[in-house]
Amino acid sequence: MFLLFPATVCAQEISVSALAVSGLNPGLSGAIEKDLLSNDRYALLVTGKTGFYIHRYNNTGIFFAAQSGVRYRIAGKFYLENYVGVGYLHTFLNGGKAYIVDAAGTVKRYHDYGSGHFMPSISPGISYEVGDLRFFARTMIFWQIPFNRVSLVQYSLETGLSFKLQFFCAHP
Amino acid sequence: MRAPITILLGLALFACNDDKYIDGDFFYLVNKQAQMPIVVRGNKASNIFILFIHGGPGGTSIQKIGLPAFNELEEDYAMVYWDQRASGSSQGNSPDDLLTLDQFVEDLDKVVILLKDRYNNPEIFLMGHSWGGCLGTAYLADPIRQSKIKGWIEVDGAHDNPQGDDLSKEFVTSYAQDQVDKGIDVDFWNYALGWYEENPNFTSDQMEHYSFLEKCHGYVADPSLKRSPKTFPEYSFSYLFSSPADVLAALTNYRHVIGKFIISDIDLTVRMKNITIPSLIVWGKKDGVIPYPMSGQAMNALGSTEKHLLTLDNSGHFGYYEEPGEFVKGVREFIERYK
Repeated sequence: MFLLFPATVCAQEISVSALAVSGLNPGLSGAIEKDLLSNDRYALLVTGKTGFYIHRYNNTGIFFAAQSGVRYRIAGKFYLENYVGVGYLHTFLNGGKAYIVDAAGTVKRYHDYGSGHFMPSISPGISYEVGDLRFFARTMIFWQIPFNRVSLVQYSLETGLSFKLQFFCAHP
Repeated sequence: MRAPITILLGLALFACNDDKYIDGDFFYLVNKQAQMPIVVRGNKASNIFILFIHGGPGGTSIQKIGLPAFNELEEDYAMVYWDQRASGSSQGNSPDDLLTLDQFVEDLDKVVILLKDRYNNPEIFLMGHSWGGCLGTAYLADPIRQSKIKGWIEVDGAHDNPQGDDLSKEFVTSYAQDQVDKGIDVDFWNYALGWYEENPNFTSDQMEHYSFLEKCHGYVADPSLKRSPKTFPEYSFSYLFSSPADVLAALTNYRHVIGKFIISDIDLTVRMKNITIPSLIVWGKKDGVIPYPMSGQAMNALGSTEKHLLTLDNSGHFGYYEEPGEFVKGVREFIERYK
């Protein structure tokens, strides 16, 4: 999907990253990115991002998000970056079967099709550029709404690698 | 490229430790938009199940897994850890108008039915701690529900909140006055005394009272216990970050439930005469949250002719942490007698 999508939206970077939701629960994420405006110091970015994580005996989450961000070159090939966005998170119960007990006291299996959540996010981070590659480390703070009638704030540590896609699109 | 892969593999291995934590059966009860996890550990072959009802409301059972006292009970019996709706590791989207005693009782009944269905119709002993004492009492007050249960163990339970709160206030104000008289932290304790004058009828969502209680050792009589991860694992790093519990979710649930579900006016004393099954009342003599005189009140109010009091002389509100040996001995004797 990520190999085809950049060609159609003219993405300029594609990334893969490892996630640790709540600092512990593993996941993977992929994103495509395009800079809308840039000079030698700043870049205004848009990204499409998807991923999943597994919190054993709790939940498995799959998400899709659109983010907008800014990247700022602090020195040499080091950058500070921050993204904000909105997304959709779908969580499934993890680790065991689920049951319901009806009014007559009969136990039945509950088929979990998951729960949908609105997922705003903020992702500050740093990156380092080496040729066509960019190594990055970010924290994604995201909200799981609703969660027991309130919003649950979660965080994810993220580290990964971006590849420039000059083959598909020229830089502006 | 190697670094991200190494980190991911490391995290995956770390997450695998969760299996050790569960070390039993894990499933969910889904009821009215609440998805509640249940863990069953220990000696299931005994066919004697101790269903632990956690405190709060809004606390957690899942994070009690691994306590030395419960590990020891698991050698002889199965321990059942259930996180109540909108509490601990429970998920879903439980409506606020279902944060009621009646709804929690219905959920508990479904847990009992589920256990009897999934296992070999086990003998179930309910063990309710703090708010769990209130919930267990309300559950057992109905004779049909009571008939499903073999015995009742109330641990520092909140069956009469108005009286319990009065005694708790007295516990703090006596301590505060004593500190003022001794010239210790005078400004703080004068502030505490002033707070009670301004809030004579505090409710369970007013956290100031509980922060005062913490400072005068009303929860745990010997605060040095909390520094030992073996004795008090709930306070250790690994307990918080390598269990299946979601710490942020548990805190979010707790803050929400404690604000929406006010239990300060619940008094079940009159209904306790309906409880006629064998009962064990366990109380810490130094409990400041629900002080020790409430144990005598419970003994008088219970309808059972087979009722026993276990006093833990050196415990506050958490006897199963503070005196695990005495706690296990008393619980074991009670179960062996009435199983």
